[in-house]
Parts: sequence; structure tokens; C-alpha cells
Amino acid sequence: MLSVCFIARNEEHNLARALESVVAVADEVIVTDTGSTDGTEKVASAFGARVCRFPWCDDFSAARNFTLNQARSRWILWLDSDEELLPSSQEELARSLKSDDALAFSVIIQNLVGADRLSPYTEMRQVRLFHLDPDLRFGGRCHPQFFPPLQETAQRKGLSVVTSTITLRHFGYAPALRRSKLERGCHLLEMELRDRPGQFYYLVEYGRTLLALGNDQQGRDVLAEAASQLIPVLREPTPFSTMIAPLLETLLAMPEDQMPPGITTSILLDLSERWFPKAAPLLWLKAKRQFDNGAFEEAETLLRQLLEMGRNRTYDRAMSFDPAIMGDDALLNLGACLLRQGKVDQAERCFTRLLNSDARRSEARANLDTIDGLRRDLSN
Amino acid sequence: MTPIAGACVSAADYLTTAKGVGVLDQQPTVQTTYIGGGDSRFQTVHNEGHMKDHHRKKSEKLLRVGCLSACLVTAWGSQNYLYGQSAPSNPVPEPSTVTLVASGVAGLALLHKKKPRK
Repeated sequence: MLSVCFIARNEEHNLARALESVVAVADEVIVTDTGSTDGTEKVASAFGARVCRFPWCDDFSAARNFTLNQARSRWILWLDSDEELLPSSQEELARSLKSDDALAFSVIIQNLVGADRLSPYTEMRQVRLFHLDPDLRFGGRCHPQFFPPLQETAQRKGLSVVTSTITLRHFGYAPALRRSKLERGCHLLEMELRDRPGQFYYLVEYGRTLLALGNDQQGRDVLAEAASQLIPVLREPTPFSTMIAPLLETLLAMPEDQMPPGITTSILLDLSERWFPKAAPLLWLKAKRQFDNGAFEEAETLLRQLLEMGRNRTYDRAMSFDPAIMGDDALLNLGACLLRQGKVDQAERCFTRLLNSDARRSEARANLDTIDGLRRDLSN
Repeated sequence: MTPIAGACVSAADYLTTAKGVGVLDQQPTVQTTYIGGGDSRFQTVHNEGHMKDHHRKKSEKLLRVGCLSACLVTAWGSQNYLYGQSAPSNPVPEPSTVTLVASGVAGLALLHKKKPRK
């Protein structure tokens, strides 16, 4: 009924956690090894997984499609080695497999910013549970996607893509791994765009990756190419791709004189508001601009909105971002906004709450000391 | 950590520089004597009880003014870039709140529907 599939290379440290989370629900587990030199195969075999070998060819989709060709169940659950299925999702997963009219299910992925299960996280959605069907195959060297698009295939077959609350936990953002992941991704994205130039999705990914690696000029050039695809559709009521949101985010963080031709801050703010009103990173950048311009009341409103989104989990789940912008960082900046407006007691409450925060305790303490210093000055 | 750009001045300094512009425009109704030109301290002349309350209010006001220009630590732009999990190009829409509300209302309507008389 269910094949759980992985591709892995040198993942002995992650794989046991992932396999342990699925062995009870899977009829078969397939681990495709793309060239490990550590104990990955041994760990996989210890959990009863079928190990296949596929020589790495700089193409995640090729490795995934090879794995799908090895599977024998009606349903596929795709996991990365640095993920796990939450135990609380097992029941829903079992129910979903009995569905007659679903071609696939989207699941929730919790992106943890740290390496332990208690780290803060934000959630996003991806389709990970789907029929084993020769029409469902992946494309793209990096960040594989269904080609042709899943919705088209579902429509053609008269089946649906269902939203589930099945949840995977992703540990991939441990700081130690970040740089090497970026470098590997950069290489694959470059190859992908060489093979198939002009793809909006990969242009945005590539440009952002270059900027994150400090290659500013090339990053801006690539993003300018992506932004040129926005110009003809600025008046459309809806965006043609959710990848526009991270593009807007990256452009909004740039100084105006470095923005691509035809793009201005006011255009970016307008598009953010119309197309992605619940995208937390865009609200964050808007708040920053208001703060920098001395519009503290407006910044306060936006920061309160972000904190509420974090509390109620009502944010847009189309992209991953640092949860701090709806948590401790938002609270610290809210305190600063309040203080700038002379709302000393409210600001003090924000900073005092942050004394319990591991991430922002010292900043909160510094601001409380500043307030105390002002009080001392006045009493002398 | 991104310290806010701009001068860092204490409340007392601010009063010195902002004399005649900010808070000192609103002088207390009771007579006060300022010491040392721009110094923010003032001495009460009469009516101790009344002046204590007045002094407290005045201090709060001065504190607020000082906060406008104090050095603060903020957290703009220091977040982690979370690479590798971006949106799929054809995302599955979240269940719409409107749909949920609508189905809830429809459900309530069904619950309250009177049974036809036999």
C-alpha cells in the first residue's frame, strides 16, 4: 500500500531518525544511495530498507525518478533524510491511503531552525504523498517539482490534490550545514538554468542563493532577469507564481538604486499588499522600512500583526523563513517602536518578556539598561 | 544586532539641546527654578505634596522624551536565510476560511431547519 522513499548520500547521522519514524507505517522503505562513503547503507539495512544505488549525476530529479521506478506500492511518501514523520500523523496517513478520489496529498513541513526538536519553526506545504503513477515524475536538478504540474495531471485524471495535516519535521537548517547546502544548490541551479534558461522559479532561487553566498553583483543580475518577467503582469489581480513572494522579499531588502530596471519600492510594496498580504517576510520588511523612516506607529501595527500571525499560525505557508520575525525579533523591535513613541511602560514589558528568550535576552537587557540609565539621569 | 543610527543622548542632554522646542515649552504652572541653564533638575519652591506629584509627572514626561533619541538595540536584518524549501510553483491552496465559515453556516441552518409537519 505505501512505499516510503529516500535518496541519501552520507546521511548516517540523520537517516536512523527518519527511518524510525516511518517503519511502522510503510509496507516497504527504499533508500537510494547516490555514493555514500559512510555507514548510510548499513543504517538503512538495519531498519529493513531496500537499498538501491544510483550514481550521482548532479540531478535530484533523476535520482528521485529512479527511486520511483523501484517502488511497488500504490502510494509513495517522499521524505528527505533530514526529516521525520510526526507520530501524531500516522493515523491520518493510514486514512489517506484509503482515499479513492485523491491523486496526491499536500503535507505540512515544519522547518526547524535548529538541530533539536524544540527549535522554533515555521510551516510550509508541499506535496509528498502521491500515487505511484508513471505520469507523476519529477523535473529540475535542484528542488525537484512535478513535471508536468501536478494539478494538470490531477485534472486530466479526474482526481484531486487534497490538503492534509500530515506533518513532517525538517531539521535541515542547522547552522553548520547552511553554507555547504548553499554552495551545492548554487552549482545545481546554475546547471539547471544552463539546460533550460529563463525559468522564473529557478532564476529566483539562483539569484537568492548567489546573494546569500555573497556574490552580490551576479545575484542582482540574475534577479533582474527574473524581475523582467514581472513587468508585463504588474496589473494582474493574482500572481503567476508563488515564487514572486521571495523575489519581492529580496528586492525589498535592496537599496533603491540597486533595484532592477522598472522596479521601485512603491511597486514592490503594492504587489506585496495585493498578492501576498499574509507573507510574513514581506510584512517584516515593510515594518523595517516604516521604522527606518521614523513611522513608528505604522511599524508597531505591522509588528503586532506579525506577532499575532505567529501566535495564531495564520501566515502564508508558501515559503520558509526564520520564525524569529513572528517571535522574539518582532517583540524586540516592537519594544523599540513603542519606546520611540514614548510608550515606556509598554516597551519595558516587551523587553522584560524577552529576558526569558535565549536568542534576544542580551539585546533586551541592553534596552532595559538604557531605560534605567535615562531614569537615573533624570533623578540626579 | 543593529544599533539605530543617529546620536545617542541622555534625557538630560536632550533637554539641553531641545530647550525651547520640546518639553521645556510646557513649563509647570508652579514656579520653578532651573539650575545651571539647561540642566533638567529643578527645585521646588513651595507646596511639597503637590510638587512631588508634579515632579513625578514631569519625570515621566522627560523620560518619554529621552526615549525618542536613546540608543536601542533592534533585530532588523539579522535573521537566518532558510535555503532549500521554497514554494512549489503550483501550490495547493490552503482551505479557505470563507469556505469553512460558509459550510459552518450551512450546517447551522440545517440543524435549525424545522421538521415538516406530518
